[in-house]
Amino acid sequence: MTALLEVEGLEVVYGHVIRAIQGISFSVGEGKIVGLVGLNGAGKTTTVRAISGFLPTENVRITDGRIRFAGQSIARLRPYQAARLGIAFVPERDKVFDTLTVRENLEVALTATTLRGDEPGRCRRYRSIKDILDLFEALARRADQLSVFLSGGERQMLAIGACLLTAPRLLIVDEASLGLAPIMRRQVLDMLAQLNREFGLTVLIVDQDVGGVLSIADHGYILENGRVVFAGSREHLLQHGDVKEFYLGQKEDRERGYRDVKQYRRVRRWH
Amino acid sequence: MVALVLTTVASWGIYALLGIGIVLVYRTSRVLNIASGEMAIFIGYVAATSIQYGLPFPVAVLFSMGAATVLGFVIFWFAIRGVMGEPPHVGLMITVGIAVILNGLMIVLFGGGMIAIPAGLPAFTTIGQVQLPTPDVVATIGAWFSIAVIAVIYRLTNLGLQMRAVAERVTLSAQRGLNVDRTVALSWIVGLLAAGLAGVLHGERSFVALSASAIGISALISCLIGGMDSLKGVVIAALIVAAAETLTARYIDPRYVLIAPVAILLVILIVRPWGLFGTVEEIRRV
Amino acid sequence: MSINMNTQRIPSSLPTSRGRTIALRRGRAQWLTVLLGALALLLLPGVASVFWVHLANVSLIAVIAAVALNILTGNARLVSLGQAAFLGIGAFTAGILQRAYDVPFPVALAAAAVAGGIAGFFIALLSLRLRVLYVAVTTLVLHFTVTTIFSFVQAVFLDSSGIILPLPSLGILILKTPTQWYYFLVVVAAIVVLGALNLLRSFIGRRWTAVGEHDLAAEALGVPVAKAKLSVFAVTSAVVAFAGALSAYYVGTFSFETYNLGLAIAYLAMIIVGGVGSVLGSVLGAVFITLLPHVLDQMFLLLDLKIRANVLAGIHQITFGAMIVGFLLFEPRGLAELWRRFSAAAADWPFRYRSVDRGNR
Repeated sequence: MTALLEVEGLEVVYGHVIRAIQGISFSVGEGKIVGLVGLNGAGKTTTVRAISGFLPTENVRITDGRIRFAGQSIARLRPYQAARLGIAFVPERDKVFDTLTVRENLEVALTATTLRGDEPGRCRRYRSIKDILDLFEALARRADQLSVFLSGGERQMLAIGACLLTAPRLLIVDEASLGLAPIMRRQVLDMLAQLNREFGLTVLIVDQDVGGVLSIADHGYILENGRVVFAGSREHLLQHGDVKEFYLGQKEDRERGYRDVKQYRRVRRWH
Repeated sequence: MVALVLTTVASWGIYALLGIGIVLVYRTSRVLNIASGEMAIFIGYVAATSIQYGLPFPVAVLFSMGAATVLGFVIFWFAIRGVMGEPPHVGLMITVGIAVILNGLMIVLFGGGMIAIPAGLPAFTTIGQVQLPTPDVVATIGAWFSIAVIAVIYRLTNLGLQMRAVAERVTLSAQRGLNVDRTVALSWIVGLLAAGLAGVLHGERSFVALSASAIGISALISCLIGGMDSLKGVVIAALIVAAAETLTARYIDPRYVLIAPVAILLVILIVRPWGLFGTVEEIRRV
Repeated sequence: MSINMNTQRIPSSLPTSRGRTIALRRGRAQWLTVLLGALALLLLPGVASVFWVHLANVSLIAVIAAVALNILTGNARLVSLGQAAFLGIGAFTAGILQRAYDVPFPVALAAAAVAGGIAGFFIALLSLRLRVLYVAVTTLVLHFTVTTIFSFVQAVFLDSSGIILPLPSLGILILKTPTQWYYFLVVVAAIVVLGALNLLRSFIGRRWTAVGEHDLAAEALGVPVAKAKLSVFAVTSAVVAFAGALSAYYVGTFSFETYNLGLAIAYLAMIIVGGVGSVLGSVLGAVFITLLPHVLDQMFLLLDLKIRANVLAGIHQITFGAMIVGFLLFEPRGLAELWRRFSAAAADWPFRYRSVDRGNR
């Protein structure tokens, strides 16, 4: 299995001063679900913004490292070029156009990718707006309403639906569970898992919820302070004593308090 | 009386067309275009000069629209692109600079005098029993036809959809694969086409001259009365402005034409600063 | 004694106190610049021709008005296209008072400032609820309203060709020759510039800047936003109107046609070219933009190009516009920033970098 997305030694500096990402390496295999997890400020969002080409516009610079997508370097691509290569992105906030109707939201995604390439591996299951409305019944009922009236869960569905229309090769979901009730969160994760199973869609999930992500991901990377501190397959991570204790909240026989957890993380950050 | 109504309707169309251009580029690039009057008259001069060189009226109009396309792209590429995302006053001042440059170019290239744009039609059109001045009829038809075309583009085509998407969220548009620069460039080109046509029609009704760029001020006032984020609002406000100006010119003094719309704008700014049809959030952004 | 010597020597190599830090940044070079500048200002009428002294006077009046506009637009970020209107308010107030009641020169100037302040206050009141772009348009509206009123007033009550003012006198001193005006204007401009510098460092100036940066954040920090906006508009408009009255007296005549939109845009060009939000920038920009057309004319004369007067006006405008656009795009901090870089480099010359322990080498 070759890697679809490869990030090697990525280093990102904000405003010439803050090294937000200090040499992250990870890869996302074709047809896999990969989780990128960590707390606030661990560098998750910066990493995915680097991948989708948004950093150069904001006084943020990639100072080192390589980002390769399907064997092609994409670090210098403009955001829309990355999108047209098949990198679909569900952002953390502002994920739908509020002043457009649900149908128009989907149309934007459809029109923007009329130039979609014929590379192998792009998920072409969903080709028309009707396909998406069939997939999400909740959206079908509100197809002609302005999307400002949608609920949080429906917005997430709409955003994912719009991404599916762009014939994605890699779907990046930033904070899939932000602001959603646990049951909705579960549904979104299950949906991603199902898309992966049925159409071989490659998914990169970026989230704080380590347990949730590891329940569907094949691989996981745990970030702390701009570095990868744990990496491995789901089984490996789920079995790892430290991960269990400090990220999944499961207590082994050892008794350690909150302070120990903080101390542990602090040490772990600086290796 | 009929002539008075027709004058109002023709001015209404021209202001609405110009105002739509301002709103369109404001929405996609967040730049308030103070220079729309100068842009309009510049393109009007192109048409007038090409008629002087012997081109027939329709060809001259087409030629000037070509010039408008080029000018729209040049302005976007060399000036606006660099200030997108900057605080709003920077974009505003850039268009002030553009206005001054265009004004100077009009003097240097075209002499800056009064030039008419004759459509080569008889002076009066007779419809039923009524005799109407042809220039006003042409201006009315031209302006409203173009407004309809722009409205259809904006509401019903993919380009319009992309413009509305970029107008709301630039980042998300790019993430969905829209080439934002291209969309904004196109909106400036459409804005320049609208402005240029308004200038040509204004010249066809009376004449083009440096002072004629005051139509840009009327259009700007229309935009503010209507609300910066609403095409419908601009069209309705343009009627108010056109009617107020025509009545002032007819019954008070043509020299004080601008006072009536200004007074209306002041009232609007006091009671409803976001405009008749604008949204309240819009005012927070600018 | 030797211990004392030691304590003296250690800090001399490192900037350990605030005074020394400042001393590091402001060396002898700065004092030299100030001294040379003052000397040049004083000696200018002795060496320059009457025409250039006249230009210097026009520049000095422009400096006064530009410093005020820059505080309003650059610091409080309220873009004003009403500069010409405020200048006109000053000229008309002073002129009408002079004509109707024959008030003395200083009183007329004060009245002009008060009238400008009141007008600015009302415009601020109107635009209190509005943000940047709407303020710009409100001032634009003010411009058209005021100029229309001027043309009406002038046509009905005064001479439509222009109003002639008598020579102003300050007690025993009558301002008659350009040189007399020059020394008077140098003093006034110096007071305004120093006043602006000090005002911007006071709590009032900091409030204005805070409101300009982000008015909601300023409000959250306890800055009285409404008061700040009203005061900045009133104060700067008063100064601008004062400059307008000065200019009317200096020229000796005024007419509503002078106060067109082009004048407002020229002032905007001054602060953009000079440096938005910088007092030094206002001074540099005002001088630069005032001299620019004349320098261009001289250049064409030298090149012996026969250009018709109206085409020349067009070329002036294109240059103005290109300056505005160019500086906004490529050097948004204007001439002031260029000057800062140049003087920093000059102070260190012939070295490329400044030594931290300059006392020892």
